[in-house]
Parts: sequence; C-alpha cells; structure tokens
Amino acid sequence: MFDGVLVANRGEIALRVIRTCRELGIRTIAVYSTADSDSAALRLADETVCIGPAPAKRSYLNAAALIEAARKSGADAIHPGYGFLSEDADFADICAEEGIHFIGPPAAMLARLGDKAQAKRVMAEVGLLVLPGSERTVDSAAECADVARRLGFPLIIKAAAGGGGRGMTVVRDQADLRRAYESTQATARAVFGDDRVYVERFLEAARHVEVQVLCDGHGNGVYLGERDCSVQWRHQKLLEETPSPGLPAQLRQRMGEASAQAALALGYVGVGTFEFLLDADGSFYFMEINCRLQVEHPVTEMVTGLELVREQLRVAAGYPLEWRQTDVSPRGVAMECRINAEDPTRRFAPTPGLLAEFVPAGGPFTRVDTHAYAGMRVTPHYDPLLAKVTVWAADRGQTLARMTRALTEFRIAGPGVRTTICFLREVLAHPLFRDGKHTTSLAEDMVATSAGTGGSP
Amino acid sequence: MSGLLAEAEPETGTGWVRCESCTTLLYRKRFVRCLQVCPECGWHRRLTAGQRIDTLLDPGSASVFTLVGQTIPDPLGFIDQLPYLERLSAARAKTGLDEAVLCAVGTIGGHPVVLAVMDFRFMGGSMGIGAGERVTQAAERALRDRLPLILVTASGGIRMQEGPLSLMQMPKTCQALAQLDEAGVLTVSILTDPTYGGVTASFATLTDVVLAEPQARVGFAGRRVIEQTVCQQLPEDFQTAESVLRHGLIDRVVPRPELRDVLLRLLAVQGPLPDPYLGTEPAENLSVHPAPERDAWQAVTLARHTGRPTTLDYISYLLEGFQELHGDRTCGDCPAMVAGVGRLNGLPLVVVGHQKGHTTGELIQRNFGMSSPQGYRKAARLMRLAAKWRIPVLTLIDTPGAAAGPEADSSGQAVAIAESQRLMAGLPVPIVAVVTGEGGSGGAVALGVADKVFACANAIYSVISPEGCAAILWGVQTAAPRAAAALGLDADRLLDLGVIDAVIPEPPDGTQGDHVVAAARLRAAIVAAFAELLRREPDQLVSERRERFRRFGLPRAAKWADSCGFVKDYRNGGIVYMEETTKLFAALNTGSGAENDLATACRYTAELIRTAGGPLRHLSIRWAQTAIEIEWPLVDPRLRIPPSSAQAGSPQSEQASASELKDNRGYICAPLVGTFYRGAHPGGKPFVEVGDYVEPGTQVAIVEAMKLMNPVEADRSGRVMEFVVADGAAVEYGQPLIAIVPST
Repeated sequence: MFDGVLVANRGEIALRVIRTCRELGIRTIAVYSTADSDSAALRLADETVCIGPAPAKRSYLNAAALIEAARKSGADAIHPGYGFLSEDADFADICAEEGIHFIGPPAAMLARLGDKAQAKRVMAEVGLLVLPGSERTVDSAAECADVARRLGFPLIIKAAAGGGGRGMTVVRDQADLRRAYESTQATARAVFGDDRVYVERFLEAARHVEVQVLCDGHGNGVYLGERDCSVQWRHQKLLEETPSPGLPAQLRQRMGEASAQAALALGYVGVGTFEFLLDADGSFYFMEINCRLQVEHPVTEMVTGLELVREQLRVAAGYPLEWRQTDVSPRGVAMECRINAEDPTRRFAPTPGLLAEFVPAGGPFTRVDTHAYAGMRVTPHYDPLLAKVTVWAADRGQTLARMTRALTEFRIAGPGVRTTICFLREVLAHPLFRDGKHTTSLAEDMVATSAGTGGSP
Repeated sequence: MSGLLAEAEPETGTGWVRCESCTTLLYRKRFVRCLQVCPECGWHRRLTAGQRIDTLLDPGSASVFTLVGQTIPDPLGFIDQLPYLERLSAARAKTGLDEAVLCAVGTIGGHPVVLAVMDFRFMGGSMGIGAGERVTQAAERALRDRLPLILVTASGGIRMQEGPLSLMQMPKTCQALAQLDEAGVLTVSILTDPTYGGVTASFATLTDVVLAEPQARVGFAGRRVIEQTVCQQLPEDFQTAESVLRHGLIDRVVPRPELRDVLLRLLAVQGPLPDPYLGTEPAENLSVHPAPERDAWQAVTLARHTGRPTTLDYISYLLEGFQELHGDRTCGDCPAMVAGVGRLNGLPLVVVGHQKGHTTGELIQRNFGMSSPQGYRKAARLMRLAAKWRIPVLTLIDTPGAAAGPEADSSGQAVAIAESQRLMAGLPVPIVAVVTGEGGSGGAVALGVADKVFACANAIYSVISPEGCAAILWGVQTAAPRAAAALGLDADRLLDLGVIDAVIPEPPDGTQGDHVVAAARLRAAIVAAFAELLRREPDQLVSERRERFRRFGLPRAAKWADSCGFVKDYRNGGIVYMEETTKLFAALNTGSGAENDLATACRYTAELIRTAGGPLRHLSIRWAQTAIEIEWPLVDPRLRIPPSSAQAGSPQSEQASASELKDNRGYICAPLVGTFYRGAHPGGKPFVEVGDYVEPGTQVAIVEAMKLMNPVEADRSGRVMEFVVADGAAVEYGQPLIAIVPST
C-alpha cells in the first residue's frame, strides 16, 4: 500500500479521501490555495502544502505545483478526487513520468475517453448503443436535411460550443427543420461566437441513469448497480438515488453487464461511471464515461456496503479485487441530496458568504459529507457544494421520509447565503418524483412553473 | 503534429516550459499540442519555419521545395565584425535552413496551397536576395499551378549585407504578387512576431487577406527608431497586431489554433464549388409583389424599426462559412460597415452591408449604421477582391445615411462614395443589392449600383430623410409624413420608378416580426437573381448595368424608339436580338400612336410565348413608346451555375497580494512551490547577501520547479535582513524566504 497520499482537491471530497487513508494507516498530505487556508481538510491531514493563490488555474489545476508539493512531502501517490485534474490525461502522464501513482485510470485511457465524440466511437466498438447523430458538425442546411433523413424525428440541433441548455433546438417535423437549423446557427453565432452545430436523435422522456463499475489491473471487473440522476438543473445534478425507481430488474442487469463488459473490453482500471440516457422503450444509449470517483458515490456505498475510495486505493496499489460479481448484492434504497450555496429562486445563482450558522443533520442511516462549519466563508472561487446528505432505508417510501426528515434538521444561515434545501424538499414532495415517474426535465419544469420558489431554509 | 515540430524542439532536459509572458510552468506536451500557445495567457511562442509548416498544412502533405537556379552569394563582399559569408554559414548551421524563407506545397483541409514561411532565427528573418528569390519563386509556382499562396512573415526587415540588391527584393516580390492579382489567384499573409521594415513594406501587406497572430509586433520603422525621431514615448500597444487592426491595416487577428479554420474559410472562396442547389430554391419572390397596404410614413417607421434583422443577422441566416474581414488598408476600420466572404447555398460570394443594431449599445457601437469613408473603402476593397476572385457581390443596404461629421468629411466621405459607385458600375461580376431597411441617400447608393436591386416591402430608399426634406421645403419637421409621401421613397413607388426590380414581401408585421421568414424570402430572391446573372459574360453584365443606370430619368423606352425590337431570352443566357422579331414588329406596326403600339406588342407577345420552344423566365419587348416586360417565377430546375472563381493577471501582482494577505510585509515570498536556491545553481554565488540593498525587480534567489529555474524578484525596496529559508530547502507557495528591512 502507499506510503503517503497527496489529495489534490479541496472541500468535502478532500476530507472524504483523507478519512479513508487514515483508516488504512496511510500518511496524508493536504494541499490548499490561499483561499482555503482554514479548511477542515488541513486539520485532519498529516502534512499540508500551500500550492498557490485562490484561482484554481494557479492552485488546484497547477500540475507543476502539485508535483513539487508531492516531492516536498514525499508522497508516492496522488488522489485527484473529482473535478479539477481528476480526468486530465496530461496530469496522469506527468505523475507517471515523476514516478508518482495517479489514483485513477492510466493516462492513455483518459486520453482515449476524454473526448466525448471519440469516447462514443470507442464504446460503439465495444458494443454499447450510442445515440445516433451527425458525429461531426453539420455545415449546411442541405447536410442537415441529409442527417435528418437518416435519423428521423424528433431530433435535436445543438451548438457545438453550447452547454447549459442554451443553443439547442428540438425539431419534431421536417417542415421546421430548415428554420430550426438556421435559427440555432444564428443563435450559436450570436451567443458563443461559433456557429457550428451538430444533430442528434432526441429522446422525449429520457432518464439519466448511470452504472458504477470497478476494475482491477488483473482483468477483473464488476458493476455496482446504478444511480438515477434525473433530477438536474441545466445538467447539474441535484439529487441521486439507487436503485433507479421503476427500472425492471432485467434491464438493470443488462445495463450493468453491458457496462462491465465494455469496461473490461477497454482494459479499464479503477472506478468508472457509464452514463446512459434511458429511453421510454427500455433502450439505453451511452452518453459519456466518467473516469473518476463521482460526487454521488455514497449512494452506491450505502446499498452495496463497499467503500469505494478504499477500493480505488487498493486497485491503484495493484491489488486484485477481493470479490466477484456474485458477491455484490445491493440492498434497500439510498438517496443523496446536494446542498449547494445557491439560490433556486434566482436560477441557482451561487450565494457566497459567511456561514453564521451551520448545523448538519444526523440520525439513523443518515450520512453527511461536508467540509462546512459555522464561521466558514463560502468563497466564489470554487463550486458551491456545502454538504451531501445521504440516507438509506429498506424501501423508497422510508427513504423519502428519512431524507425529508434529514433536510429539515439542517440549519444553515448567513448574510446573503441561500441553499438548495427548500428546492430539494419540494422535489421530494413532488407527485411525479414520489411516483418515480420524473424525467430530466423535472427541475426545469418546477422552476418554470415557479413551484421551486422556496426561500432560504 | 508530426516530425518537424518535435525535431526542432530544443532539448532542455525537462518536460516543462516556462511561459515568457505569465511565468506559468507549462507541461511541454500540452504546450506543443496547443501549438506553442500558453493555455493560461495566450502567449504565442515564435515558431521555426518547419514548425509553422507543420501547424498549417495537413499532416503528411507538406513537400518542401528548394530554389531553382542560382543566386549571387555575397554581391558586395561585405565584412562587418565578421565576414558576411561566415554569418551566413553560422545561421545555416544554427537553423538547418539555407535561407530565412522555407517554401513548401501541401494541403489545408484538402485544398492544395503554396506556402512560403520566414524563420526569424535565420539572421532575424532579414530579406536578402535568397529570401526575396524564394518568396518570388513561391509566387511563381502559385501562378503556374493556379494555387493559393500563403505567406508567413517574421522579419526585422531588409538584409544590410547585400546592399542595393537586398532593397530590390522589395519590388521583385511586389510585382510577383501583382501577377497573382492579375491571374485571380488567392493570396493570404500571416504576420507573426515580429514583422518589420522592407518585408511589411512589400509582399507581407500586398496580399488579398492579411492576418496576424495576437500580440505580434508589426510595423515599418522600429518602435525605438520612431521614439527617438519624435522624442516621445509611444503607447504600450503601439505596433501590436491588435492596434494595427484598429488602424485598418490588417483583416483579422487570429490566434494560432484558429489559423487553419480561417484559412479554410478563405480557401473555400476559390476551391471547387460544391454541387450548388440554387435551382431547388422556392422562387416565389421572383415576381413583382405589390407592397402591403400602408402609407409612406408607416413604411419609414417600419424601415427604421430596431427589431428588423441587421446585415449580420441576415448573414447568419443566409451564409455558410462566413468570414468577416476588416480594414481599409489605409487608416481605419468602420464598425458601421460589415464586409466578408461566405457561401450562399454553396456559391461563394462577397457580402458588404451597413450594420445597425438592436440595442442602444449596439447602435452606438455601430454608429447607427452610418459608415465612415473607411467603411466605404473597406467595402470597395472587398468588391475589388470579388472581381479578382470572379465571385459575385451581395450588398445589403440599411443606413440612415453616410456618416456626416467633420472627420468623415475631411477624410474624404464624398470621394469614397463617388469611387464606390464608379467601381460598382464597372465591376465584372454579378452584383445584387437589397435595400433591407433604410436606404438613406448617398450612403445607400454607394452600395446600390447593381445588376438587380431589390427592396423589402417596408424598406425605403430616399434622396433625403423625410424630416430633413420637411424642414427644408415645408419649413417644419412635422411635415415629415407629407414629405415621405411626396418623396416617392417606399417600395411601391420605387418599383414604379424602376429604381428597384422587385419587392421582397415581408412577414405580416414586418421583417422584425419573424427573422427566419424574412431571411428565407431574401434568400429566395437573391438565389434566383444570382442564378440568372451568373450565366452572363462579364462585359455583358457591365454593359447592361451601365445601361440600367444610364436610362434613369429618361422617358420610358424613348431611347429605344429608333432601335429594333428585341427579346431577352433567358433560356440560353443573355439578350438575343431576333431579326425575325424585328421584321414581325415592322409588319405589325401599321398604325400609329401609343394605343396601337400596345395592342400590337401584346398580341405579338402572346404569339411569342405560344411558339417559344421551352420554359421562358423573362421576356422583354420594347417597341416605339411601348415596353412590356414579363418575368416568370419558376426557376428551371436544370439551371446550373457555371463554376466561377472567403493578459492574464501578472504573477507579480498575485505574489504581492498573496504576501499582503498573509500580512507579512517585510518578506519576499516564494512565487511557486519548489526548491529555494540563493544562487543561480546549487552552491553558486548568491544573488544577494545580508545587508545588500534591493529594489523591486532585483533578482534575489531562484525557486527550482520541474527542473526549471524560476527567478524570485524583490517586490519592495529595502535591505536584506535575514534568509528565513535555508539554501536548497523545499518551499511552498507564499512561504516567506527573505526578510527585508524597508528603506526609509
């Protein structure tokens, strides 16, 4: 096992990784920017190194500073957490060159899967369905018509430079195609300064379901069930649960097996998440793969009893998996809510500020991952995640009740600080959500119908 | 990137590069993948000629070509501190090149091109006989093979050691480019850091399109020379690419990673035409549509509506691969005029038009669509390029009038407008003009000398604003609606007067109500017009265009009273004079007077249509006092277009703020994580000792990171009191290194 692990991250995930390392008896090194000099992770780590000023580019994304910090502290492995450099092929490459273990897939794998379009081609080669589309940008109305003939309707025209729901048009009829193409292109040029668009089949009532896989370096791989992440605002996940409500057991197994087989065919090593769009007819289309630990990994831990960071460290250190697929038997229902310092009434705008009060929830089967404390300043420099609360119960009804109870217990307040708690409670109370019949448009619809107008908790 | 790039990379023993602008340590592999542009601050490192060829051409397509024939090696037998020949061989040894220019043929996105690239490492990229000859031979190769020529410059100027013969390379290269202009071959230059002197003053700026890399220094005389001459300090950005762009001397500043995309868009102007589908366009708007029910004043109001699509809006809807180009190559770039190249249903064309805006901010930035002389000169420059490239021109007219300030006037507004009309009247390519909104007087007609002139149904085209007319002739501005009615400025009257050929119908509420429909109708009209015009020979286009404008103000058809009748038959292109027609006319024209003429002409027209062998598009019969013109809306689907020829935050300030955050004034702190050394190398002589006086900028130590030595500079003045960290110690970011007693 490793001698010293440098955690190249901040916030709750830095704490999360440090805690597991301590349980395994591994020395930990926390790094921080000048904006995080009072962070909770620094108090738990064996050693700390300041790596740069507040802007992430010059600190948490500064590969040279991280490597020098590892050298200075004698770390022989780096855990990148999620975000920042966790899927950066160059960083994995640098670590390899410096003789430091990068806890994640090897650089070549990250490079191969890092580009979304390329990842889709790779996955199609190993047998996963991918959403049919234009593959590259569509440069004329005539070309768009050709693609539409091939794909059929409905389809979606997306700005190549787009994101966050902007620069997308759903087309349901041939008659609207040209108009939609031209207006999407014009919008893309106006908004992003880049008029390139591509075209994809559009799924009307899709759900976002992802499968967790874990592979060792010895040709063993397992899937650890799925997570339903359909509650999203502009592609930002707000709530995740497992199992996916209403997913037939057979389909669950098919998705899991397909993912594990694909991962093994690729020669994947480490934890990974296959994201799928699940159509109403049960077809599941590969969207992208996340080559890292996910924010929402605790829900998988709760139902499987497996400690994913421990598994990551073991696999990175070269150990084989200790169990087979048949040993994995998820139990009960787990759900995670992300409590962000964001204002749902102002389109989830971040609300940085001083936390005058911060009291997390507790109780049976209630896990809170947080780095926050009363007196902490939420900075505008990084993502606004304050805490993740994960609960477990034997069935979904009990889980919903437990989550509602836990959210009620939170007391978070500070000048200007708003959180997503009220919105999450409205989600939990929403009839579609309670019935497990919601889709990825739930949060958007709630905001649009101003259902999600709750104030601060 | 393939071989050349990697080979030429000096081996420094570390996988890291230090950005010379923002000092960030960059992973070399990523830096190379980013084409040697700092991903943090955008700093462009100079490339060698080989690297440049590698970054521009398709992988594996480059084929370097050498000089044909001999040049005189050292015409003057020049010796300064070293004999010139020795300097030359040293440069050759250092760069592995024969001269400061490397030529190659290859492809960009499949388009074959000739490339000549300068290498600044070779005697400062200076142009002597060898460089001039290579550029000239590249141009000759482009001429011979009719291939686009791309020149990449990096030069301090003319090479002194070859004296007058170096100087003569300037006209030699200039005339080589002139020959390419005559042959209609696309030329593009890319100015890189630095481009100066006789290179800037010859081939570098004579190309059709001049691009420059960000922050590249471009000029004629060096900055220091000018400062010494005028005895004043020049602004920080003097002679940067960005400043030169503002002064209208270049077309665009293009970051290195985008160069290939921009070149591709330009090459598409000349490349083989994709199969055009002009003929499949619905042609509903070809016929003459009456304008909707509204009075002239309402048209004025609608024409000025800020919600109407602007020229850039129409371009977004209509054109593929649009590339905007800038500058009049003299003194400025006018934001009220947009000009560029793009493709309309696959047909390459030049588009120029006035640009307004939808918001107050946009309108102010675009000067409300009132172009300066620089704008008209930019438009003229692009129209000349269209003539050179043999591609059509589309003009979109939407202006309250030309800019009318003292500055515009004294920089030649009147001359610019006059010259634009003269240029358009003789331009040997099809021109379609559309008045999309306001056609304000001279500023509008400067873009209005076209083969086909259309107006949107609510557009206006007027000799003066109704308000101006009312003030002058009625004495009150409130008479503007009456003036509007009297001025004959709306689409119906324009059609009556023959000033426009057709009215493009607007959506029910006007074009502002539905941009997509408005653009679709504009497209249909333009496409049909070009489909027709592209079938004519250049001299025929010009003579018909001149006829059109010659006729304005004369009684209808009077000019033709004595000439023979003729039929415009668009089936085979052009006007076909039909002797038989003339004879028939003569036979039928037995009576006298206009009524009889009309009846006769009508009868004959009907007969002609009945007996015509195929679908007619346009029929025009004139006899005596009578003219009949009929146009059919349908475009023959078989109609084909003949091929024709587009600073990050300084680390110092962050260091300062970081050290102040920690409230450790009096300490010089580590600017990055690494190993602290007091001297230039471990155990070397220390930069400073206790007791030494330092000033901001004095180097006091180094921090080694990723095997690169990063200087630590004092950020304050004072005396060194103590070294807080031992030589060779690992330090973290912001860690105090040296205590300083501030000077008093």
